[in-house]
Amino acid sequence: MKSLPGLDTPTDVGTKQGFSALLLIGTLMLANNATVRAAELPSRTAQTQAPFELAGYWVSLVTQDWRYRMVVPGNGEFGGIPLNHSAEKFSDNFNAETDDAAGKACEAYGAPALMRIPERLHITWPDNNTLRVDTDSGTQTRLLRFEKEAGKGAPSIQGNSQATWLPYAPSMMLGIPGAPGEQPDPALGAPPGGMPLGPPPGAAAGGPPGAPPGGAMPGASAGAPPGGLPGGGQRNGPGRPGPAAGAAPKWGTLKVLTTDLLPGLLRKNGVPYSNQATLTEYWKVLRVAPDLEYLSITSIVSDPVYLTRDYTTTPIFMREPDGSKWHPAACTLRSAN
Amino acid sequence: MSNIPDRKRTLVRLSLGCLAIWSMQSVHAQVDLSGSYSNSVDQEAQTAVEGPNFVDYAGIPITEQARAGALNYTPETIDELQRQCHPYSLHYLMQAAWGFRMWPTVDPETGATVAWNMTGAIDRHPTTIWMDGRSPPSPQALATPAGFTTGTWQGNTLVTTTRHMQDGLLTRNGIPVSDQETLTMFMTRQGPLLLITAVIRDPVNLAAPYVLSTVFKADASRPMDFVLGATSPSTCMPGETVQSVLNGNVPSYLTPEDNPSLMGMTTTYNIPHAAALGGPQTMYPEYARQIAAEYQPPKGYCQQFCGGTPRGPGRGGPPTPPSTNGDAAAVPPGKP
Repeated sequence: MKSLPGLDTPTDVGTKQGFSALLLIGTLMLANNATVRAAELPSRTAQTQAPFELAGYWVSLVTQDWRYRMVVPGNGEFGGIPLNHSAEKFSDNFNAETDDAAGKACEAYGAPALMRIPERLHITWPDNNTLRVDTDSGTQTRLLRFEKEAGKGAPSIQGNSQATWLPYAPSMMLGIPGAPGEQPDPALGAPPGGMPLGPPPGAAAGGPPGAPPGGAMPGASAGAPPGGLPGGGQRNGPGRPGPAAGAAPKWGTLKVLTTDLLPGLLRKNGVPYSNQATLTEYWKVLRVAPDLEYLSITSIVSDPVYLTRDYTTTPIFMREPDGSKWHPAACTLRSAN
Repeated sequence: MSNIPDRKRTLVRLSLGCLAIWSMQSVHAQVDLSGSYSNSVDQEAQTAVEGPNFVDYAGIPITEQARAGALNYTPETIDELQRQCHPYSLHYLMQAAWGFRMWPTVDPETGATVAWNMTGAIDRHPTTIWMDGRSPPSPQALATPAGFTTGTWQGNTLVTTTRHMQDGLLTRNGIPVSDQETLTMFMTRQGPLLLITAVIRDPVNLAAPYVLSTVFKADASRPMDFVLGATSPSTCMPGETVQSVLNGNVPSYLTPEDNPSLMGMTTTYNIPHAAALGGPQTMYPEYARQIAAEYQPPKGYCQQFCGGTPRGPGRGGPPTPPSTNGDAAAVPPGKP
């Protein structure tokens, strides 16, 4: 066997011992890593693998595209949407009053548009592998399922959403408790009013305030099981506890792919999307300070029928301490929310 | 015995190798952000391309003081020599149509990333994001157009903090920003996308954090000079005061009533005047319900800044080319 350069004297016991010690250290490092991973295996669910806490209440911050989101824009206001002639023609012939009267108002609250509606979100874990997102505006429900094909239903306003964590925790591979600098900027301080955060009381409890018994939401999407979730979404128990003190931080992104959509509206002045549209989203919680968190949802709508290219936006939400401002309202095409 | 130093050297090398492998776990907490990025401008398209309407502050959490300053603003302000570079601090990255390029500065001995560099655009200064833990300047240090930026990694997200920026404009339609501004950016590379969320704070002019998001896309197929500022001078260079415009006057509206665009958003888009004046309340959902009763969509078809396909004037004609001098839209809404 060829010796390593500089180690061509096998009788040098000290050198061999030093080399062996290094090998031992390396083996222990790998073993530690394997142990960490093995320990995680039995309890691995989407909820336990969450790199950030989504459960709780969130409020839209409408600081961009205000004129398209906070009021119903006028005819021909297409700014920002890469629509084609067919979409423009559809919008030109669109009549909000007619559609409202025909009970089609919720077409403006489908998954490709829902997160841009001025609203509040209530996010819960009805089970370990499903995130439930309720909105007060339009009283819609999205179910983000982590198990493939689970609960997949017929095309609906909210479609079928396949969720995946995209974890990013390389510093945990060897059990290193975080990398330097992975802390929020303390200089940023608290937001005006200094709201307390962390999982608020009841943050992970089932439906939003005002939800009828059984959890069935008025106007809920066809993606939700009839009669609401078993147990009315109340069986999820307390929220996922935050990382224990001293625990290694975990980072990542939630990716959601939504398909099987019914046609709907991207904008309430009649800009359409078709049943061939798909929605890809990247959800990420951004912690500015211990008591100030934002949820950014980068949304990419693809539609070969009505769009010339992907339509990409990022609605922003701010965490709220509770659901005291929850304001359920039915779908409407006459106003923003 | 003559080879003992060699053995020691080998051991040292092996040890360093193990340490390197170990430390790579932390090094990998950094993502390679190198590349050229373009902005598809799907959000705030008019703001990015044509410029925001005058007296349209809806959704911006401004203070009374900021509103007063904005109502006094005229676009001739930036024709003054000392103000020509004011509007374009780093936050302009989130409001403009331009893309940018990023590249690291690497320590030649350790290989550590000392800084990330971002090109400027025609009138936004280049940015250096210091990653080596250096201390920021003292609070009394001179504020500059570029400011001072540091960065840390939160997993795969680069979190930057910029302070010491010169006072100037928060928006191209005249909302002021002070030298107490703090800009925090969260930059996450997700496949070909670079997602940036910016949190702007200014205790003088903002009553709450002003949060903006923009999605950039890596596009190596673009010509090198497509990313403005990458190969051409990228720093705002003050020129001459435009005497023909100023004619010895200080450009400003003495009172809000003197501002010809004061009611522009109401006359053109039916936006309630109070909403157009902005403030923190205007960015929350309940405000939409509050103004719903007094708002009706405009009766006519969109006439300008409509987006859409190129079908001619008033039918979603082609967007106006980007302003190159940084002026906001020179024509109030609805007034040709």
